[in-house]
Amino acid sequence: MLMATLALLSLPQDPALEHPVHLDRTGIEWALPFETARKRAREEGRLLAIKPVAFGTTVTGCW
Amino acid sequence: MLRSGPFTDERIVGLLNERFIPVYFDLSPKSPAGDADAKEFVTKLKPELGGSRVPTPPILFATADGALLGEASNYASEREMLAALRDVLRQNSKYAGPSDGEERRPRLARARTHHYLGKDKGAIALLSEPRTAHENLFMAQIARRAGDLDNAEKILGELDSNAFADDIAVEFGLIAFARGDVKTMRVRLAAHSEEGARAPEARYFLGVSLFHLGQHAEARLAWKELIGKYGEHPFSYRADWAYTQTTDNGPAAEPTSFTTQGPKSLLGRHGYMGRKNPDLTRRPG
Repeated sequence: MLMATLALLSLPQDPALEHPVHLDRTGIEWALPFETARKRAREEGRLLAIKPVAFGTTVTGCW
Repeated sequence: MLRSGPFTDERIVGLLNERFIPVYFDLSPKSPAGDADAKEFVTKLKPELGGSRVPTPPILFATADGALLGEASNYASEREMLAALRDVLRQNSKYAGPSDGEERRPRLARARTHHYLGKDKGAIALLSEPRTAHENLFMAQIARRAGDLDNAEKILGELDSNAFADDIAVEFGLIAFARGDVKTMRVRLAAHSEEGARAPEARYFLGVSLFHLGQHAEARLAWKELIGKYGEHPFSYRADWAYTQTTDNGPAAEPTSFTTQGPKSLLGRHGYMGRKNPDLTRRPG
């Protein structure tokens, strides 16, 4: 089955949790947050490559 | 799946950095990676991602104004992801031009960009002789990826075997794998130093060679040690993927469904759906 369905939690974000991008070692220069990425895409004439994550991002792993 | 597959490929990472603005976010507002602006933008493009239960989201290629121009599955192989990136750029060339100052970079950097875009002739033309050793190493990588293994070996054989020992170990190991010669693959990859820049890649593929030699437990130990040592490295994810699809006695049974119950992988993941780790399939020898 290629499509995995997962329940998404609807609780508010915990501001104490650090964004897991600091753990990222892919070498991808993620543009965060989204509005920064969108602004850059406009200014630089680029397409956005957007990866929504549904499996959950945690403080111990990116996704 | 992207982390364990396509994100281990420097061409995909390079294209994302040089020709796109890459961004990720978690659909869950509870996550530290949640982003309300991103979610609003994306659910206009893909309403099915706005519900409380969603399909696994693809990677989306869109303009800043909200036009969806392409997508690639979360389960795409490296080949499929690379094709998707190149296709969307080819079909929307106004977004594909070089960045300011890009043409003033050293020729090796420019050649890499040509290679990422699939323009190997342009890359090779840029690297006319005489070449530096690093340029020759890159020429060997172009040849290996094109399947011209004899030429790749020839170029590697002319490199300084001390200065480039680690790169030579990995490159010859990957060439041996492409030939289906897993004994040579193991010997070559075992020569890579622990301190070398490509140590995670070398350790991962050393595990692959052990697996194909029937040393399944040793292979899994190599992958486990790699994950323990290198954490969030892309080759840790690839090792995690291999680990979950094997046992100490060989390939593991395929999962019949996805579940968030039961044991997690070494990296704490619930599972790897969608496809088998291609490295566990031996190349024809």
